[in-house]
Amino acid sequence: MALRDVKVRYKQTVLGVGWAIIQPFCTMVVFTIIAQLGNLSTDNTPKPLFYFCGLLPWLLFANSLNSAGNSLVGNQHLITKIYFPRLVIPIASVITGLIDSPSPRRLLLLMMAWYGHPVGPQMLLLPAFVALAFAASLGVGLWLSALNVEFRDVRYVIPFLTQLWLFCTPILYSSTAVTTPWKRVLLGSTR
Amino acid sequence: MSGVVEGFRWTMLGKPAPGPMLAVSVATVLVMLASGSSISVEWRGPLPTACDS
Repeated sequence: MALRDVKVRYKQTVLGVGWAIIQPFCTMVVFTIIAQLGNLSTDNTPKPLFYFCGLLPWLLFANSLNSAGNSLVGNQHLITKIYFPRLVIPIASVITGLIDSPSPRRLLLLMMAWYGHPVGPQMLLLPAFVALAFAASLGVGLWLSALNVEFRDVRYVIPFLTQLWLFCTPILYSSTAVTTPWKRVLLGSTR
Repeated sequence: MSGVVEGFRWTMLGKPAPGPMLAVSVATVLVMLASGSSISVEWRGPLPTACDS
């Protein structure tokens, strides 16, 4: 099911898998301009690098959440014809988002080389954080997909929710710039 | 997602490790996964209708 979604996703598109890179790249450009105008701190890291690195897990999460949330309603023809665990459909849609994720990560490595940013041994733990982003989008996506079957308002809530969530997550700003009471609310931490 | 984003920045850019923020993220994800899985498995709500397509 995930393979089918991957094949269909970029069919009849001119840029194909390039769309997986264009989305974070353009958002990075906008965030960099906003940070320049608003004089936002990026902890002494080049702004494009800071934003692109933050946007990769976010877009993996947001795109997977969007497709998982609408997956049950979107695949009603399958559900009504044959019996199989409904859990399979949101899982397949989240896996589809995961297949796209290596391409922008390669661009991030190129950007790091361009800015002369060193790579540390902690990079070996990157798959663990990709897995955590995958699990987060699946966890929320399972809830939203089930709720979407009963309440069709959910399909309108998902884009709104991800937009609000984006600004509650330290992507446009550094977590070190958040003061203590807000840190507890936004980041779930006082550190 | 704060722990995930900060973790990404830690692995790629060498920013400070997320620490307690990551623990909160992992705990939240586990709760959401467990509850979301049980809801999807147990869900007996109405199936989507033809007007959805």
